[in-house]
Amino acid sequence: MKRGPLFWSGVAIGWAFIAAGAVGMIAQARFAKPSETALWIAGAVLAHDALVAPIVIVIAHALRRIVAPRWLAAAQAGLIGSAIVTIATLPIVLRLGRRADNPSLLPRAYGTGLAVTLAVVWLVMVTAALRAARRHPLGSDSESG
Amino acid sequence: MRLRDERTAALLGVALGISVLILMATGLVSHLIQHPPGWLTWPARPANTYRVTQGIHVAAGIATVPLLLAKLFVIYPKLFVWPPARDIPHLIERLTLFPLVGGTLFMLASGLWNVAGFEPWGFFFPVAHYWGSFITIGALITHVAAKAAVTRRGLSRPAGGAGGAAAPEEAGLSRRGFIGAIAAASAALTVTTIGQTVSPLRRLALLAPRDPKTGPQGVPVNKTARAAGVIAAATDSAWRLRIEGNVPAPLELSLEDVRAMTAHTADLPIACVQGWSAPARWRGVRLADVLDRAGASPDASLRVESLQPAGQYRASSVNRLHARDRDTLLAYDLHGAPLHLDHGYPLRLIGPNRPGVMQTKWVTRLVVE
Repeated sequence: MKRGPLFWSGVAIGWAFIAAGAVGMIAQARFAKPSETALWIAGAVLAHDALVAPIVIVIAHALRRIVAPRWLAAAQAGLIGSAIVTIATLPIVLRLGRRADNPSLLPRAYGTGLAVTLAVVWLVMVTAALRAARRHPLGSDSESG
Repeated sequence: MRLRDERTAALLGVALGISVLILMATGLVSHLIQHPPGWLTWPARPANTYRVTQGIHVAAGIATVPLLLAKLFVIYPKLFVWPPARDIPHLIERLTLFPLVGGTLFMLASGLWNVAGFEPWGFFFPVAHYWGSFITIGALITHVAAKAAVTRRGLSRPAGGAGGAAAPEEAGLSRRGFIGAIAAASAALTVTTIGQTVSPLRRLALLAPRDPKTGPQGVPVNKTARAAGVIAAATDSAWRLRIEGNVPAPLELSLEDVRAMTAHTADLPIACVQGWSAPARWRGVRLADVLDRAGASPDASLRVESLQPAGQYRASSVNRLHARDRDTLLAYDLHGAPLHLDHGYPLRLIGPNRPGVMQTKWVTRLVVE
């Protein structure tokens, strides 16, 4: 593909920022711990590409085999919603950051909170998916996009 | 799979780009307030500005998690294209994906975990988060420039165009359904956490790390007196407030002396860097009155120092606008009762439009500049 000035200025400016970030971390190494931070960044990529993504693909394929076509969209939407909400709030729900001296941090019953949230997420997702399916039944001529 | 097409990637990319711009702007505001360059005298008014910008920063970060995960899901197969690079520009473009994906995951995860009080790392979060943002935003600039044409093509193609209706009908989520599910996940995370910032919605905040009404005297605490190591010094009857530095008449006041001065009340929130904020009613003396009593110049700035023996936040800078604001107090009461030790007994700084970490607790010394 032919690359114009937009691409090359994007490379120049972007990598200047990246270099500034790296230099800044090294300059403040006592606080930023650049080698450890780099490990977290690399670890995040690895955790996604080698672990999370393959697991999601396996589950997505299993879902297509297990779930009847008319329920598939609802199941996919429900799983997407609940998996994301769970992953995003897991450290909170497990109260991993709790401190004995500070009861104002993580004060709620998060297990119950997550259960209620996931129930509502499933309710909304299933309702929406079934309504969409009624509007555009499989095999009809209407477009799916 | 039909979800993994240019249009879905472009739509999610644009949404992510907007999120990152909001996160960058609000994050930069927070950084500049805490490390003001010479040209910036951060105003004391409007009093709730920081509460809003930092509330948006954390809420936007939380709402962005589903967008990022969806985007990674859509583009994942492209990780395995063969050959890995067609030419040098393509190689540069693909190498930039490493700081882009790693940086974005790092920024969102470290921010979210920090807000949750969970810090399983050795670095000092604000510094790593700040410089990490340069790496992430730099990679994003390169990525946007490299993908501008593809994104424009993906956005301009009418829904259900070449990649949509032409493909055979398939069971399962449509593109619209997929994006709807991602938006619903963002909405669910927002609804269940925003109440830590917007206190009227606190009952919905099932998954928020803070409740604006839970804590000593009904106000949350970031650092306790025990964690700060100040219990003995703060409860010692020998405690004094010293006003020193560039003043003609250095002062040393006991708590009784301070309480004998004209008292004022201020309704000001604690607005934490972690995004939560809690409304509160404070009573104390005006900082300006104390400065006047020591004869400080009316445009003087100062450092407010805590009993805390060490730590990044043992002192804070107060610029001339904050020092002279009528609501900037050295407070000794909260909600009509003496300050709880964890809120800074015997005396704390509280002022409008300041991050919580700059509302110094256990104040013992004012150094006028």
